[in-house]
Amino acid sequence: MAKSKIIYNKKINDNYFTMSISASSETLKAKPGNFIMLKTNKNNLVYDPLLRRSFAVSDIEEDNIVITYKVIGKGTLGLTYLRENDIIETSGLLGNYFNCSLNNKRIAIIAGGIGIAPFPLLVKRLTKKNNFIDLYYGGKSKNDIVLLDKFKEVDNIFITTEDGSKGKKGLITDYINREYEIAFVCGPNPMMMHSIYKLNETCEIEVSMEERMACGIGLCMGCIVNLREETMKNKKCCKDGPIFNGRKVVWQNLNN
Amino acid sequence: MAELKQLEVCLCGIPFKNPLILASGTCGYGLELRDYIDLNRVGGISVKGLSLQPCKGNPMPRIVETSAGLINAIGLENVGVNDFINNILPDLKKFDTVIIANFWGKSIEEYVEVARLLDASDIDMLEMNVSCPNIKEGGISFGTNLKQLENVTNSVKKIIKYKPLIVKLSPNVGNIATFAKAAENSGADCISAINTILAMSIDINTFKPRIANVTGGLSGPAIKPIAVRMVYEIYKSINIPIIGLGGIMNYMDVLEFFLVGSKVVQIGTANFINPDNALNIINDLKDYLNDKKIKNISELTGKIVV
Ligand SMILES: Cc1cc2nc3c(=O)[nH]c(=O)nc-3n(C[C@H](O)[C@H](O)[C@H](O)COP(=O)(O)OP(=O)(O)OC[C@H]3O[C@@H](n4cnc5c(N)ncnc54)[C@H](O)[C@@H]3O)c2cc1C
Ligand SMILES: Cc1cc2nc3c(=O)[nH]c(=O)nc-3n(C[C@H](O)[C@H](O)[C@H](O)COP(=O)(O)O)c2cc1C
Ligand code: FES
Repeated sequence: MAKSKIIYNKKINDNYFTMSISASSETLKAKPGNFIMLKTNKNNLVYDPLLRRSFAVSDIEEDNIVITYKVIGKGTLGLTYLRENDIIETSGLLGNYFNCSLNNKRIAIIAGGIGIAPFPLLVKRLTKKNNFIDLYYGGKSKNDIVLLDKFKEVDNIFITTEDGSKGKKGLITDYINREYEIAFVCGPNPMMMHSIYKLNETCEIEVSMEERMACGIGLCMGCIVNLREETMKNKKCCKDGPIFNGRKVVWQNLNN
Repeated sequence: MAELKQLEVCLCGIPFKNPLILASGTCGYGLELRDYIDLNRVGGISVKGLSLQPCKGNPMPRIVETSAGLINAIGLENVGVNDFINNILPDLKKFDTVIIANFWGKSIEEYVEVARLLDASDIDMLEMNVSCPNIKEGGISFGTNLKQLENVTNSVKKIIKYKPLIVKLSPNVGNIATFAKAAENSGADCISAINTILAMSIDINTFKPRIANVTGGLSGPAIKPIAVRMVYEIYKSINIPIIGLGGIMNYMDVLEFFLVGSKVVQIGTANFINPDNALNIINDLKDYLNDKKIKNISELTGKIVV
């Protein structure tokens, strides 16, 4: 656990925020897909919320780490009260990361809602290497489409909302019909599962899984993802993930 | 060194450098923590509950946070006792800390067989979990039925030759002191209390339980006052030592458990929030004892004034 200083905590819209926090030189080595955990209340002696919450490293700005978060319950609500120079407890880097040593590849990035969070950093690492990148980005309504200014360098952006308030009306997975060599997917489980059905069979798929976590470091076995390997295997989302081969995940065993 | 001595305690003939044990299910098999804390500094480690065969555990979701607490229904997922003894224990033994093997079974025969294997291994103590509320097939009846508790304790005690047996009690009973007494009479060398409290949480949008197993066990600061009360009741009715646990977050919580009769304590859910918690508590306890000029923490055991 380390103490970090809030550099800024900006409201994007009613539900989405972006927050920059000071980081150690170790944390600044974050790779796209890595996550950190935050104690979301200022005072460490406050026991509600009790556990730390997980957030993807969204971007790195100078000596700071940026996270993008959506207000869900008491933990993320608590984050919105933080102001410049407040101190919070952080831990991480945690988890594995997306394969970002790619050149000359046709790449799809597929995001649902807050699933966009890890992708600004990923795109930073993938552009300028002759990669061709399509971004597919779906949400319930226009407020779920954020951070578009971070994706100026991708080749195409496809946007859908379920109510049609931004982009095309419908589900983002309905618009995937090109062939890719690798796809990176982050969003609700049903959306990730459907992306896999829609992508061409030769496409490698890396998904970022969001399971509830108590510890984030492999102690509790609360965050299990089943993988179809030689035999069915229990993997820990926090330690073995959160990035998994999407074709091996046993989606039926996940609640959502 | 003099300072360290203040925290040294002896439990069932086994010396502990300090009275803080990492609770079963909250520290993996210990090794998961080695990159985060110096395991040589904790008094002991109680590993994830072991069974005869590997166990895959419950479906997801397995955990949910509630007010100042955590409900879990992991379902006792574990690698199995043989894999633990052969592939994990040798590395764990490299640390200078007391190794406690938490174990369970679905039948008395399974309990006995796991206990036999562990007794012959390099672990230091056995901790029998009779109280896990998560497994439909067993667990619950052993810990909440006096006859069952006596049977399993007697049978396991008979097979064990070398190692002390801790019986970890379920709080999901009317009068926990009678269960402690029954365990003592059936040969238990030590009692640990409490395990998690049967609990439930519902999603009001989907109308569904928030964990797949429907019910689970509540841990964390929410259960501390209940745990303290239970240790208090147990202490008055038995003569074997007690390991107190349930919701310990800081050194003040530890002291409460000592005052009602604990000889040693375990830290569970607090490890999830910060794996350094146990080490911070050790330092804070030293300061407290120095302040109060107490030579050894054992002097506080059972010193509640009522
Ligand atoms: C690896 C990983 C990366 C993540 N990255 C981001 C991110 O960049 N931005 C972002 O906004 N969110 C992210 N999430 C989800 C975020 O952790 C949850 O939205 C947050 O924990 C909700 O907490 P709460 O107290 O506001 O909600 P509550 O519903 O009150 O939380 C109750 C419990 O459920 C857990 N929980 C609730 N929703 C989720 C969820 N979707 N995933 C995991 N646990 C959940 C909480 O951690 C908490 O233990 C990530 C999750 C994981 C596992
Ligand atoms: C995720 C989780 C897993 C647990 N697994 C076990 C177990 O395998 N065996 C056992 O005896 N107790 C198990 N417990 C219970 C704890 O060891 C402890 O008794 C309980 O959590 C109360 O202490 P705490 O409030 O400090 O966590 C588990 C608890 C949690 C939270
Ligand atoms: S969150 Fe505890 S094991 Fe993954």
